[in-house]
Amino acid sequence: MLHINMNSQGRRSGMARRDFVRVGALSTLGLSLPDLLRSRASAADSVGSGTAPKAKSCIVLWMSGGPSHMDTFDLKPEAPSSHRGTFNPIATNADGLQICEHLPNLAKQADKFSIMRSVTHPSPSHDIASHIMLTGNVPARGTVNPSFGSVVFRERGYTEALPPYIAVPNGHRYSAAGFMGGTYKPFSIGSDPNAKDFQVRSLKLPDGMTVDRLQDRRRWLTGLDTLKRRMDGDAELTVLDEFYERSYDMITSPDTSKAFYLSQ
Amino acid sequence: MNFLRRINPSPLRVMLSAAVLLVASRVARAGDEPAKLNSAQFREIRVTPTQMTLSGARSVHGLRVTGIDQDGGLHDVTADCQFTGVNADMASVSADGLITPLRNGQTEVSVTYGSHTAKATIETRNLESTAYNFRNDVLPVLENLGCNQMGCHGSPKGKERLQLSLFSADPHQDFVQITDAKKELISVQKPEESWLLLKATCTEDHGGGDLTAEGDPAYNLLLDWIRNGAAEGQSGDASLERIEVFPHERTMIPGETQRLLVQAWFSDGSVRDITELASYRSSETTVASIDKRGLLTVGAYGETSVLVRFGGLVSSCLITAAQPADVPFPEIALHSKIDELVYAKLKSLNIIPSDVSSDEQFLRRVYLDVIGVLPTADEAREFLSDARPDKRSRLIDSLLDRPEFADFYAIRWGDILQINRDEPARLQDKGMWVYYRWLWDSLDQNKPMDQFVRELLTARGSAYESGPANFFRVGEGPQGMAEHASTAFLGVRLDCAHCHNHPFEQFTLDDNLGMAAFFSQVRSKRTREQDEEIIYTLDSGSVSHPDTKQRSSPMFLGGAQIAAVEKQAVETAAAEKNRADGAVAAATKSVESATKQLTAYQKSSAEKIKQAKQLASSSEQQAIAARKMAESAEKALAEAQSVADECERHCKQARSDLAEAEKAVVAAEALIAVSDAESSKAAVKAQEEAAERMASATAAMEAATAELAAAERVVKERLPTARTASRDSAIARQQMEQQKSELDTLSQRSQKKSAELNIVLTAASQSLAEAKKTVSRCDAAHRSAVAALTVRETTGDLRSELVDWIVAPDNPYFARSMSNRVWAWLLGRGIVNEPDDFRSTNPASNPELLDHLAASFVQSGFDMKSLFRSILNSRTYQLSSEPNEWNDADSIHNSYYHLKRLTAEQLAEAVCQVTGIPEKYSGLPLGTRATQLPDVSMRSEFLDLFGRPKRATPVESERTCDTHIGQSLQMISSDFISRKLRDSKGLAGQLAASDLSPQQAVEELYLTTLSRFPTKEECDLIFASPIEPSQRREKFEDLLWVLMNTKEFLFNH
Repeated sequence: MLHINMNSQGRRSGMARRDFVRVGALSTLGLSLPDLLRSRASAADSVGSGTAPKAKSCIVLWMSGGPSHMDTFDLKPEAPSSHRGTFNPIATNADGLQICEHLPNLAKQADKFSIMRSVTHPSPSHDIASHIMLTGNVPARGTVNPSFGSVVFRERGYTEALPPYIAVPNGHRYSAAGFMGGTYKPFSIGSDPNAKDFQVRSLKLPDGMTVDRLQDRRRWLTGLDTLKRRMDGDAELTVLDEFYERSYDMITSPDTSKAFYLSQ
Repeated sequence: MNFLRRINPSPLRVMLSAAVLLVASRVARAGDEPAKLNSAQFREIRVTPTQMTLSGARSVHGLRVTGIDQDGGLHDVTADCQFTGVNADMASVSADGLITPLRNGQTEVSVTYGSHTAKATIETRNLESTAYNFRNDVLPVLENLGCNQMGCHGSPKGKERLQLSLFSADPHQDFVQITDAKKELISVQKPEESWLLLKATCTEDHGGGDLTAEGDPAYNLLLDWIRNGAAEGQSGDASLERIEVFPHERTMIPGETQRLLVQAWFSDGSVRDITELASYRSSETTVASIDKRGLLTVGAYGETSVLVRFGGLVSSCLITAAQPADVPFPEIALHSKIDELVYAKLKSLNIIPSDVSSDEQFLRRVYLDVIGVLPTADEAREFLSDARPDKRSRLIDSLLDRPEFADFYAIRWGDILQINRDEPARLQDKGMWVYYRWLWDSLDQNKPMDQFVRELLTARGSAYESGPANFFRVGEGPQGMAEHASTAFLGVRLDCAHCHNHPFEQFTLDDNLGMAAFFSQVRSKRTREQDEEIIYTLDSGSVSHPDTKQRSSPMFLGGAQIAAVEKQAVETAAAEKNRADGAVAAATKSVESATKQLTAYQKSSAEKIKQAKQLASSSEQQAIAARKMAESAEKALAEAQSVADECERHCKQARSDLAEAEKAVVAAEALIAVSDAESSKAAVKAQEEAAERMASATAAMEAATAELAAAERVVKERLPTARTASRDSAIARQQMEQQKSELDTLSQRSQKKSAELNIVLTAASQSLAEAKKTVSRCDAAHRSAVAALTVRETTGDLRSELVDWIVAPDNPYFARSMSNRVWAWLLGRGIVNEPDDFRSTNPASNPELLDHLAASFVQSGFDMKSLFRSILNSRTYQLSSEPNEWNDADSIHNSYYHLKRLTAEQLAEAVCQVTGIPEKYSGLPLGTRATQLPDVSMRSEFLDLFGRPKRATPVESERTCDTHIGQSLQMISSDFISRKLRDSKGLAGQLAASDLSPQQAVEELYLTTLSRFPTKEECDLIFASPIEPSQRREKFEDLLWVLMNTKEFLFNH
């Protein structure tokens, strides 16, 4: 699951579509890893294990203040003019599907995507609406629900070196894990992949570090990490170890650079 | 099923359980069922209930039979018993003890188990009545199926055709909705085809899924209700009053089962078995699971509370599964009452606590827990080499006195009070700083918590000048303020009851509004300065119910109406006034009587004195008269004497005259004899003259003698009179003197007594004055209480009333909530957990311990540091974090110290501290520690990643220690870490440049990061290949990185 957070201020200017498509596509590359997290979330076992979802990856473009549905994919040509935008619909290469006249290239490829015009929410408030749309729940006082990305993370777990749920550049406040706990937060890139000095947080080895030296440190750490041995079986420590392993994988995996660095 | 509870630990069993422990950490294992007891191994059996009154056609009721084994252990033996109806045409009994009455009247069922027997009496009435009451019978079933939840038909617009009130808030409306003919949910003609049932069983596509199935008790009930006409019931129907679960508590062992019995009690005294309709929830499902039919199965050692609910009513059952006592529970030297209570609980569960922590563990732990930072290498060396036996409590005292205590706990309280200059509190720089400083000072001064709460909750004035006034800028409106205050100081989350009642929690919307009313007078206004707000209170204010629009009166959490409190105050004042009036009356009486007594006495004593005086004066006169008489008698005597003396003298003269005359006669005779005529004549003449002289002398003598005799007679006569008079005079004087002295005594006594009586009178007058004062005070108090009652809702700052209630020693929440918080901060888990979630369905793991902590806290005058001190000094706090084979499954009873990942601020600061390179936080001087940040607005990726909260809620769990991949990446390869690691002024650089040997440098690294010396094994590993001088910098950096990435560093242990 890839969550791309954009807003109308244009601060993410130049985040071209192909860029994030590329990041999202990575999720299909993965390898399966034992899902320790799933054992923690025992309640989810029966739901998570049996039915493998068909979709391999999913991209959410969260475009706060972006162009509205009636200027893009849902022009409502039948509606009275008071309920219509100023643009006209054009036909696409999919039967019966019309989109905005300013999206001619998408119109030629409409057989490759689906539009769900029925998705809606009842709230006039941006904040509540965002909560509903990102979590599927009307907000209750004192509770922030997990976003569906976090739910997918928990249910599906890791399938490759990259985290199952990534936010670019940072998640919306309702795209986090809410009451499910921070473990299922999206991994936030923290910066714009188009920026010159773009760097995914902590994924690049610091100056002066080499993979070999990191491996040396790892070996020492394995030998000197004695508390873990004394607390054998402690779930929290085990999970932390698991994340350390994943981190080493991410730092050293060539996939990581491929995924995040547009130049490669 | 019955199980042998105590088995002698054979070597085989010990080995078996040790083996199992390795894989399952004492979770009970499948197939390891305890051996079953036979009936002969039970002392007796008991049937529950022994007596019941059933009413109506659906009066089917179950029985539970409990066997008591030789050790007094209780077991469910229902399944192994035979049940017989004493009178077969009165009632039938199924093999598993389900009674179906056949006729109205009374009968008995007998129960047999081996040689044991027991009896139950059943009274049945109204058997012919098939009437339903929608509210009592049907709605609870719909509620337990989940139909009226927020996400389903309880949402404001309902779902599809059906709209129900949320959690049965409006039963009549729900009935109207369900039976609304237009909606076609009910078909009385073809009950099985009712839309309600088709949907509930998901026969028709149902967004809520299949909730019940044909044949289920819930299904049967709904169907039967529809068959019987789907009626609402009569207004006079008996109402559902309470539900009760059997057993209330039970000690069991893993693998054992117990079928619960849940009874609904009605206002007419009848009872119904609702075991199959109630809903169940076990707080610890690993300890005991429970199915829909109320069958409870114990899975692991521990405790769980099973919550049973039906129709908005709750009952609960506490299940304890104690570990078998494989080894005797050790005798432990306890430090304090805290330990006593913790160990009593552990002993009851056979959980053997871990050993006491090492000095190294304790040192690091207590630094992190009290001041949030690590000990320096020097501090570590000093403590570890200290040989004094009380060095731990000395360290605790010294840490509690350090200013970093206020730094660190200002973060905790800052979370709770949601102090932040930016979103969400938006206090602005000035508001934030003044609030933070007030908080910091309060913590540093160890301000008593009652004062802390009072200053905070009654604050007013500019939020840029008064720190605590900012409290009122955080919560939105009266409800928001009340919710914030309740969570912060009562540990009660009222926000769930912000809009509606929770289905089975005790706190309702009315509680929320009642508490909110205390804040209804609070207002704020802007000033000319940017964003400045002044907090003030109006004379009046109100909150209204969102639906009924009715005004809510202030009501303390738990139900005491402030008006009721006021009424109570008036009554108390009136009673006091009455008492004072009584006192005045009594005092007046005693003044009167004292006055009377005094007057009477004075009068009588004056009379007596007067008499005595008279007496004295008359006797004085008498004495004087007597003396006079005596004197005159004396005088007369003396006169008589002198007359007698004169007479005697006359006599003497006369005698001497006579003698001379005789002599003259003799001489004359002689002369005559010898004398011539002439001369004779003269002689004769002389003789004659002499004879004459003699005769006259004789006569004189005779006369004088007679006179003398007379005078002597007179003297003799007068002598006794004079004597008597003199005696009388003496007596009279004596009498006079006696009476004078009596008079003196009398007047002295009278004076004394009068003085005494005067004192009594004065005292009485004083107490009268006092009593009069009391009366006027009571009068004033009464008047003001009456006035307060009268104008309760229109004047005064209600917030003070709330604070008075909160800090009252008997407040059920405040002291408990504060003690519980501190316990949670220090031991990682609240006795009530979460620490800010007190409610009836979230019981304390050790209520006696919580009570003790709270009572001590109240007794100490709400002294926070003393609370810290008593917990920190307990053996419980100082236990090792390493579990043993008997306690590793324990997560709630403090049998060992639970690991706590360092909080975001602790970890950020620990990294700075061990690398020796501080972090610069914007707007604050370099060297400001992460644990000194006043709010959460400083940008810091590191702090965010490690769970720094946004302070969007006052709930402590907003600060998380969840593990996340961003964290491991951060520790492994972030700039934050590597810059500090590689800095030449940092620890690794300095050690490399120093002339310390590699061994000494490693020791320094260990003491700095882990507060201990390296072990031999660790040194062996580190020096497996020698560290060449050229590698020093690189290797020390590597080792520092490694140590910072050990769990020992990342966790407080």
